[in-house]
Amino acid sequence: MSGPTLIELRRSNARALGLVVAVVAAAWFAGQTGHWLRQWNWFAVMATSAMFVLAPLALAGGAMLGRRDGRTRADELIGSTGRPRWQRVTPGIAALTVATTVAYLLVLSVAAVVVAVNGSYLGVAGLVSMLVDLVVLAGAVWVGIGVGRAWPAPMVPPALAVIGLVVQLAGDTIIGPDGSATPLAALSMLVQPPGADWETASGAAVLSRLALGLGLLAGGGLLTVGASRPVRAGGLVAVAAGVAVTMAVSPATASSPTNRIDAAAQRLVCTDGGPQVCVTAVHAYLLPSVVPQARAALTKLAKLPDAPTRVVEWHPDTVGTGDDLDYLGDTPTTEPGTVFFRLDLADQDVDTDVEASILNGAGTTANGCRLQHPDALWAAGAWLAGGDTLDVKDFVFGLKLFPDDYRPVLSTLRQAPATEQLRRVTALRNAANACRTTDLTAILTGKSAA
Amino acid sequence: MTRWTVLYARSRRLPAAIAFSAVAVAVAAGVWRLLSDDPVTPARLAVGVGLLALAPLIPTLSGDDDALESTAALPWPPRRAAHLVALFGGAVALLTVAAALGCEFGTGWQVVRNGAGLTGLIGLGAALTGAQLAWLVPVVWTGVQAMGAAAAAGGVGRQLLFWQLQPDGSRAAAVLAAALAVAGLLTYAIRGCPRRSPGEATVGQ
Repeated sequence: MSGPTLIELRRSNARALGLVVAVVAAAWFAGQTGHWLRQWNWFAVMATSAMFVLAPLALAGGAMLGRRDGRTRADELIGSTGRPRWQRVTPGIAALTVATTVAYLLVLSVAAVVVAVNGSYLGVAGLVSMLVDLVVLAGAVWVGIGVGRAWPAPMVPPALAVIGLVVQLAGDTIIGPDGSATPLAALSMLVQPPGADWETASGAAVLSRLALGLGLLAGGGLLTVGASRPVRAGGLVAVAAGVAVTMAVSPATASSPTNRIDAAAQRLVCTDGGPQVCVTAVHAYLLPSVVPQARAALTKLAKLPDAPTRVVEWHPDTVGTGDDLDYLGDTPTTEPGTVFFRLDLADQDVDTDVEASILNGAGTTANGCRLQHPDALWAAGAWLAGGDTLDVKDFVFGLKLFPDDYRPVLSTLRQAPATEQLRRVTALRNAANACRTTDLTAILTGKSAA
Repeated sequence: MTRWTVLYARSRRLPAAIAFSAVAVAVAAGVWRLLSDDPVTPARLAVGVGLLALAPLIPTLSGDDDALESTAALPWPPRRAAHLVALFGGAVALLTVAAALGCEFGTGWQVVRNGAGLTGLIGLGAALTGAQLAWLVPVVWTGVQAMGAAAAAGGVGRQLLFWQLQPDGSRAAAVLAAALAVAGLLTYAIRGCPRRSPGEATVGQ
């Protein structure tokens, strides 16, 4: 770093702005629910949302520096030196940009270590998203400097910060007559959490933020460095162009998906030795708690003919729509010899009913079919478990597959001869795995010929 | 008094700040009316615009050289208190006019409560950190409330954290706003802004 830049780091508001950015970012992460501590893609979304406040702060911080020369009427004096304007302003811009981005990167780095320690996946997709956020942050600093230089009034920093907030709030809250988002929605940095741990920001979402960041950088640069009115006007055009591209590309206004599947996050991590148990990379840290439960379920499923020998965590190839039922249909997504299960980490750090949820429906509840007759599914699971109950607590794909009273079905099943019981549970499994879900109770109670 | 008031307003750049504040609120109201048929704005947008009405006025709490200004043999505390109250009154008046013209940034009580609390917070900031940084805490706190609005409902703790988003009946939000208003008013009136060295004042940082 050059001498003048170091001097600007000491004498300008660069260090103060860096400190403010770091404190606010750290407080933002610390105040969130704990899920991001283990999930990289969640963390990346939170980092983007932090820009909602950090970018306005960067605008204001930049404006404070930008108005310095104009406010002190030093412009004329400094302008009399023989150096071009860009050489004179570069140290200040560099100092503020470095201080802001380094402070934010420090917070991100600490948080990334936390995620690495607590979770099991750090991916490129989330990293790219966060680096694009840095471009937006730096762009906000540059535009702030440019505006402060153009209008060195004391009210500019606070006004700019609040305008930054209000524009985003307007985008978030104003809805068109047909219920669709307005173009302003593209300018909001508030991002909805992903539908699943393996989802990350879509290409369009990242590209739109990149366009905004580059537009702000170009515009802020021209506004700050520009020695003539046409060049400074070009800065406004650059900002406008960045905003226009953002609005055109953003999923918020272009009706394209906000998220996409992060294939690396879905990569299966499997156990070595013994019956294979696989979970997605984002949940690999849960293997120690999943493996004993999954293997216990495999042992109990082995009562059935053609029993599965492998357990795999269910993972879709499409992003969530907000309604888990949309994952289900009339076509099974089964693999020979494999039973799928769904990890449910809602309001809990560890899924404690993996075994019961696998046994529920004799291993069919995550087969992609829209299942009915929860009493039959439950009773089949209880029969496999060998007791009078099946301790399933989680909803499965939003379905309550744990009826309050399944005992009549289980009781009827157990009244049949042992071989018939086995035949009925096997028939239920085969029917469910073929998405024939309309008479599962009848199969189990012997009222159906299946 | 009148002449003093005019000179004081000019020295604190109040006309430009008031004009900017009015234009900002008018633009926000205009955009809302242009894009929505509903006269009532969402609470999150309302708190943002409430702060927008006040933000340009914050730097007026300090002059170019407070040390020089203080040498005038005048009773400054009531003047500073009047200045802060005027900020509150001006912001509330702007939002009331907007409501009368068909764009409501919160209920009448919310406008008064949030305006009073924010003005107090700004006064506290001005007295403790100087007018040039008095916007920092209000901006961050309002931003955090707008970000986490979904979690605004709840116990006293949440009502205090998200005080600007609370409904009219929230006693915790009202008490917090009143406490901020009183604390800010007294602190700023008694203490004024911290004195900056002439060199620092010249640099304008």
